[in-house]
This record gives sequence, C-alpha cells and structure tokens, in this order.
Amino acid sequence: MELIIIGTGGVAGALTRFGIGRLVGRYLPGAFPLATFLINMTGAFLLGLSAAHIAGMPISQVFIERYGFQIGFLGAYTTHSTFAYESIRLVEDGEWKYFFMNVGGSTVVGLLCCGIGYVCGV
Amino acid sequence: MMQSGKCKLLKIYIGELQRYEGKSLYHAIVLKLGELGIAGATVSRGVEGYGVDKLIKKAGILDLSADLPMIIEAVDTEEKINTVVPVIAPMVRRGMMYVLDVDVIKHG
Amino acid sequence: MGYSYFAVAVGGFFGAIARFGMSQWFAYPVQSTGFPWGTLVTNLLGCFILALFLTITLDLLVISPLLRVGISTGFLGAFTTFSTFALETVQLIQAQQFWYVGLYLFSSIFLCIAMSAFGFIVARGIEQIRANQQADQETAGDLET
Repeated sequence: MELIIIGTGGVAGALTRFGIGRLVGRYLPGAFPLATFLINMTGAFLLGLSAAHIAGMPISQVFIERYGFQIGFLGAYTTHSTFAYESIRLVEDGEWKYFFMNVGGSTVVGLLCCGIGYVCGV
Repeated sequence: MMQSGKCKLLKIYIGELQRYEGKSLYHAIVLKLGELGIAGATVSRGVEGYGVDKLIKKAGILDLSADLPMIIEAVDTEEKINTVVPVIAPMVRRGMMYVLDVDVIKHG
Repeated sequence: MGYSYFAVAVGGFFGAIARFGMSQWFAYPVQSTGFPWGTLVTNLLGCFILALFLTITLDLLVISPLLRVGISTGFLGAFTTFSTFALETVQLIQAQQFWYVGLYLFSSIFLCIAMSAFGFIVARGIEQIRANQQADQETAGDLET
C-alpha cells in the first residue's frame, strides 16, 4: 500500500520541519521566517536531485524513492501554507522589506535550488 | 470572603502546552483555584514571549506558535492567596509565579 | 512539549496522504492539459484553511494547543508543498511551456498568498460577527433589568 509509505515519509518530513523550525527559532531568531525559507530551499534542491536520479527508471524500481521520499518526506517537509501565512503576518507586522525578501527570495532561490539540484542529479 | 480593599494578585506565566495529570496545566490551575475557593481567576494568552529557555515564541512564525505563553491571574485576600500558593507552586514545574499587592476597587 | 511532536507526526501522516489523494483526484486534468492542477488546488486550499484556522484558534481559543499544532504544523504543513511546486515549474520550463510557467508562478505565489490573506479576512469577519452578537446579548440583558 503506497499510502503507508507516503504517510511514513510524511511523518518524518513534518517532524523534521517542526524540529528545524524550533532550532532556528532558538539559535537564529528574528522577524524573518528563516526556518521555512531554509526548509523550502533545501527541500526544492533535494527534490530536483531526486527527480533527476529516478528519471527514466520504471516506477516499480524506484517505488520507495518516489512515494516515500519525494511525495511523502519532501512533500511534507516543504510547505506552501506556512510560507503564505508567514508572508501575510510580515505584512501585518509592517515588515515590508522582509515580505518582499521572503516572497521574491523563496520564488527565485527556490526555483534555482530545484534546477541546480536537478543538474547535480544528472 | 473577599471584599474591596487590600488584596493579593497571584500571577502565573506558563506555556500553553504544559500538562498536569492529563489536562492542560492552565486549565488544571483554574480548576484547582476554583476548588480552593478563590474569588476569581482569568486565563489569557500572550502573542509573543520567552522564558528561561530563551526561545521566543510568537504567533507570526508557525513552528514557534505552538507553545505560546499563558497568563493566569487570580485575586483574593492575603490569607486565601497564601493558602493557595503552596498548592499551585508544585504544579508549575516550569514557568514563573509571583504575588502582587492590589487595591480592589470593585468586585462582583 | 513532547506531545506536540506526536501531534505533528499524526498530522503529517494524514496531510501527506491527503495531498497524494488530491493529486490522484486531479490526475486526469493534469495529464490532459499538462498543467499541475493537483498541486495548485491543494496549495490554494491549504493556504486559505491555515490562515483561517490558525487565526480563529489563536483569537477565540476554542481548541487544545495540541490539536492546533497537529492540524496547522502537522496536517496543513504536510498537505501543502513547496518542493513539488518548484519541480513542476522547472519541468514546465524544460518543456518550454512558458505561458504555463507564468500562469503557475502567478497562481502559486500571488494567488496562494491572496488565499492566505482571504483566510485572515474571513476569520476576522467571524470574530467580528461573534463580538457583535455578544454585544447585542449584553445590551438585551441590560434592558431586561
């Protein structure tokens, strides 16, 4: 049942995200949502890497990597809702500079990380 | 019986997630204060703050919004508050507690 | 505090599975148009619900903090995904589907943030309605005495 593999990856991804969030909050505090940014960038890189890694292979051969790692872990590890929520909170707190940094940075750096990850994986 | 005049305010700062015997600690404290006959108690949630652990919790960062500060306030006569403090203090394993002098203008 | 990790784990388990379910549900439109509808709808939905849910539960204090962290950080955090969005955009660029790239970027970034803002607005609207109701009840009570 691929659902169990996805779910298990999801557990690991969510826990890693939560743990990194609290670590960053403890040692690198600030108004900028650094944890979510770092998590999304590393996740995008890893997904690019993994996608290149399994490209062309039959699904049956890369089942765990596709469902457990890509969909389960990385999908749960990275998060779009937290990114959007923290962006709006930046606006509410009047941190406009950080808002544009977060939105622009996440988009540009995120795509770059994914692309670079893919190139590395080839 | 609490009347207007000189009384004591008991104030407790804890984390939202702290538990006590299967319940949330803030809830357990309010129940206990009621049990001990304290005239009134209020719980409010802080939107941001830090304690001994130096981890700044805040509502604006998702992972840090998990354990926001809870503030419990209770006002009663000095005798009443003095009997309550040794019961409540061991419940609060982590956090801060203090007692303040207050002049009650109105109550009831 | 330790229980919060358990709550996040449970939320993450179901969030990932729900996200997969959404991608299956949208498998046909994705296949026929080549546009990543599944991820987009999932992210739009998740952004709206997170803002709405978190604002309501922080301001109105209706639920246990464990449930709150389990649903927000756990479930909704795992339900939405940034990495899949990034990869799909890169793949669209590789396929030279530039109109789709623009559309996907616009909807994933601008619209998702807008959905989040909308969630805040709806939550505050609900709080305002409740506050008005309580004010009405109080004045009605005063009139009775």
